[in-house]
Amino acid sequence: MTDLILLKHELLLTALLLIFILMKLGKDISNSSFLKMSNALLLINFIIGFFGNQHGQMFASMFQTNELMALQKNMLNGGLLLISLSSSRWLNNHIHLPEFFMLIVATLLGMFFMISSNNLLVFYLALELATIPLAALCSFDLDKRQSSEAGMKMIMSSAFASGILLMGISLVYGVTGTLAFTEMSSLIASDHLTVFALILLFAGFAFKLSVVPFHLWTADVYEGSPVAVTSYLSVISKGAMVFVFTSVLYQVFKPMQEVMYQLIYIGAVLSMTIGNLFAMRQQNIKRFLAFSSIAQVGFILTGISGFSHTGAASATFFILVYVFSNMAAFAVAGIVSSAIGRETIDDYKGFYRTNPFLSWVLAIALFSLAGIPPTAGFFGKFFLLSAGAAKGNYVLITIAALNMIISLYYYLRIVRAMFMDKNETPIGSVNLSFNERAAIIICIAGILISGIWNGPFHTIHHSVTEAFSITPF
Amino acid sequence: MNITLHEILIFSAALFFIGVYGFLTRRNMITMLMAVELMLNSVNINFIAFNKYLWNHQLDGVFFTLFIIAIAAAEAAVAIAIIIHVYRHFKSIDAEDAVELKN
Amino acid sequence: MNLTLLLIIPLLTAVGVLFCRNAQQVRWLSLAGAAVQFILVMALLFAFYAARSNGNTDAFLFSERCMWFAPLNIQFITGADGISVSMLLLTAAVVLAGVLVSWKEETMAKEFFFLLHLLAFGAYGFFISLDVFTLFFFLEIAVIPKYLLIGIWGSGRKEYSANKLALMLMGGSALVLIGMLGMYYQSGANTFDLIRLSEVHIPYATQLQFFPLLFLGFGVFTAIFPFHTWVPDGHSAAPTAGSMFLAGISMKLGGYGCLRVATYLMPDAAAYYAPYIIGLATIAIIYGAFATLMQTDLKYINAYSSVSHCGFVLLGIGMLNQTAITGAVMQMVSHGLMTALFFAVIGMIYQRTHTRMVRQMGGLLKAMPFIMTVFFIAGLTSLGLPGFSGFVAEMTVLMGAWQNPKTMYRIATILACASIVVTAVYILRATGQVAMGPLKQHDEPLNDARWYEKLAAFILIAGIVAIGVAPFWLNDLITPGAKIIMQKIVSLSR
Repeated sequence: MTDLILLKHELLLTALLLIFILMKLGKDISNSSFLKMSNALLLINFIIGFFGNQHGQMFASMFQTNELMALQKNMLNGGLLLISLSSSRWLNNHIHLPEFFMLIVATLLGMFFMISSNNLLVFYLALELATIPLAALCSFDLDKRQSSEAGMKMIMSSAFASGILLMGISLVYGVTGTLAFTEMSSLIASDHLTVFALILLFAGFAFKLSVVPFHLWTADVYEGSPVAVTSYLSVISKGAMVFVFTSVLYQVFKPMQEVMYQLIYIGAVLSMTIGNLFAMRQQNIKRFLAFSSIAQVGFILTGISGFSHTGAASATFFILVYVFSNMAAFAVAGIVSSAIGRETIDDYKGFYRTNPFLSWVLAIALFSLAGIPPTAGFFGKFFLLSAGAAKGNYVLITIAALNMIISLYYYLRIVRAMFMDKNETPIGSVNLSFNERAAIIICIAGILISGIWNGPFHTIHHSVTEAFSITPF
Repeated sequence: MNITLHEILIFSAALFFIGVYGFLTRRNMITMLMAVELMLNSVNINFIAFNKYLWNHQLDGVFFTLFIIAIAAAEAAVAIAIIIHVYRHFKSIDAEDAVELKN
Repeated sequence: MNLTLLLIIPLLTAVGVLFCRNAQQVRWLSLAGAAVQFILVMALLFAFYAARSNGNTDAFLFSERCMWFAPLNIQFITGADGISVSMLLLTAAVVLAGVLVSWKEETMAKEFFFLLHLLAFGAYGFFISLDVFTLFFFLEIAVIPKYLLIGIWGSGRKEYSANKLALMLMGGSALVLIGMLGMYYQSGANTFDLIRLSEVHIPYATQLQFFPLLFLGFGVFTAIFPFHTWVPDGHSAAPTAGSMFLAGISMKLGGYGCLRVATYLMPDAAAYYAPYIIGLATIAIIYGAFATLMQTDLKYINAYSSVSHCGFVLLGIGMLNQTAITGAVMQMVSHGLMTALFFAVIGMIYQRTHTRMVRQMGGLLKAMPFIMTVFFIAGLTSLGLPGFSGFVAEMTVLMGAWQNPKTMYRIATILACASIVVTAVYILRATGQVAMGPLKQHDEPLNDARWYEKLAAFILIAGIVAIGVAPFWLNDLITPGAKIIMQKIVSLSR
């Protein structure tokens, strides 16, 4: 029974899920009190996540956990709490509030199992548990046409992606005769069939990570979904995929590093460049952030391409930074969208006159996304690039550096609209509720502190090193 | 007559790419969903074949197939629910008609 | 003397400004912060002299180090040699003067002074860092405040100029980023520690590969020739204090980086690329001077002449001998003070006449004698009149340059000398038109400088004259630093 502590994160989420269902079944409670309770529960869940983490394996080594995975799950837990806080305005007015929390906790549970999976079967099941409710969430703005379209695109593309992924898995099974990661890595040889299987697996991952050229669903889904779901998709879902990508694909396909490197190299270059070029011409702020997040994935891949502890650590650290920065940006976009109903960049002209606090928040978040010091984004990008540079491929680093300039160009476009442009009808002043204020302040504190203070990076690097010494890379 | 692994793999690969082709060319959402099912079924055949011919001493592949079938059903359920939802908004289940989101 | 104080004070001031209630509090707090910084730097100067006279011959004094990101071997190292101390002096003087000049800034005063102090924070941090990562960190910190200062408080095509400046400077720092990562891995030292890197011999091929990136990257900041276009637009659109900070401090970040990082760490490549550097510098000097002739806007005049003057800095670095490098640093200090004074006085004139066009002004000497006197001093320093700092600095660069016997270098030196004549033409023409002749502005109340403006001008002029009349103190300060750089060049080329 003592083994169950290994399942702590997952058990907690399951308990949350049950509580939400019971609360839904019980007597009617108002949205605001439900929201209060769910926030409190998420907070408790987040706090407990830090205590009593152990490493070990369960279920005939199909499930494994260690310090690093616990850390990653804590990051995702925190992200969910931030989403719930920052989008409280939208949630408060939604008629199906309990269902939202049920679905979102279910997907998070899937992601936790995915991170901890040590077997392709568990990985696949977890992946589907993470994706299918997410598609339902995408169409959660029930009376908006765009939202239903987003849900449709999400479920179609993810079904297609898992088809491709499964083909890869079946070929890997054919070649190695096992589904367990640890046995697989020693059996893999780089023959043609395995390379083909790897490409299929990579394509499956690329779909979920929205790496160019598998990104086509991203912009539409991000734009159509409610802001809370969009931020969940772009931060948490993507973060979980990055974690899995670094641990699983690194681990299993270690003998095929060269092929992997080529794939990641191409994916990184294309994602950065295409994502940035498309982001430049967007008008809708959610669509804009969608393309910028595609570009960010390119940077993450650059770091991962280093194939080192630093690479994995920098990718994980970047996700932490990304949670704070993107969440802050989406929080502002979401608050404005649900309070005023305006979503284009032109609407943000003259925003500083009416909402100085929110303007600074958005500006700092964008600077962090662009990688400007002293925000944490600078450190995140720097570590990614220096991990990538360890391979000695300076073409990749140069392309990444050039892309940083392009990305700065379009991030400054919004800053310019907010601070410099004049507007006859600016967005009116928005009153922030306690929840929203708390979420925003946490995000900004995270952006400003988590980089300069070396604690987070050291912790992550330490646990990466630990994790890879337990299950050797 | 003996069927070899090669023949089964060729069959499943054909099925897989018919599924991919169907998904990319058809615009009716139900048809697209069926195309995905084709892909999943080809994967099922793969698993069974690998299990039978190569890794006869274990059951991993067969189990995987069972899970794929179950998950595919769940996926189809959610997908069809969403398609019905789309139909309510757009009065069509053609993917080309549901184009609110374009830059 | 703890150098991190120079980081803490601007940061505290910047944060403190955000908590002020009204503009009055903001400006007094800013002034207090800037004054404390100035006093600290003066104390640093005397502590530095005292340490040197006590026979402390370490390359870098007051050095402190602590580990920042251990997994990547990134440290936080501070330390100062004569070159950094002189740059810190310049920074402190310009910051103090900049705060004084913006005394009457009423629109969003809080944000304005916050950004000024943030910019100062970046500059101080840059000059005291002895770790390439930290250096880069502070270099980039200083970019965004400039963007916002120009974009929000600027005039004319401010959004365009702000964008151009931010993107070009970030482009420069992107080059620096690639260069420093290459240096980190290819040098084999796997460290960003400047002192450690200066001890290892970076392979020749690596130097050839990464020196241009670093030099050009920093060069963008100091307006190296093809990448100088942000200078005129940025300077002319910026508010007065913004222009002063840009020309006085920000452009010096680049020169200092070229010297401290690129040339110091990769001397072989510096020797290899020297002809190209000199070529670009000469083009900048000549082009800047002639472009100035065409300008009619006072700010554009000073901005283009800055391109020309900063060419001297690069020329001095490219000549790779001790006199020239000393001269280059002196030119950085001198130009920083002079151009800050120039922009300050242009700002004062603009506030009163509401125009910066030379043709629309005239006879201002009678209306505002103090401001015009300052204007004359700035102009005469710019054209290199003996007794002011410009003469000393440019003379030292040219003397150093003449030591180089190659024909091409001689030609470059002669061309640079000739540019001084052009400088004289545009400076005398502008000062003449503005100050002499009949008064053209009748409907404006043309009062003379206020106390804060006088104080600002006084601080900068004191610096200019102190260098111009008695250059030896600055020379003594810089020469040991230049000697260390030269030692590496000489020892490696042997």
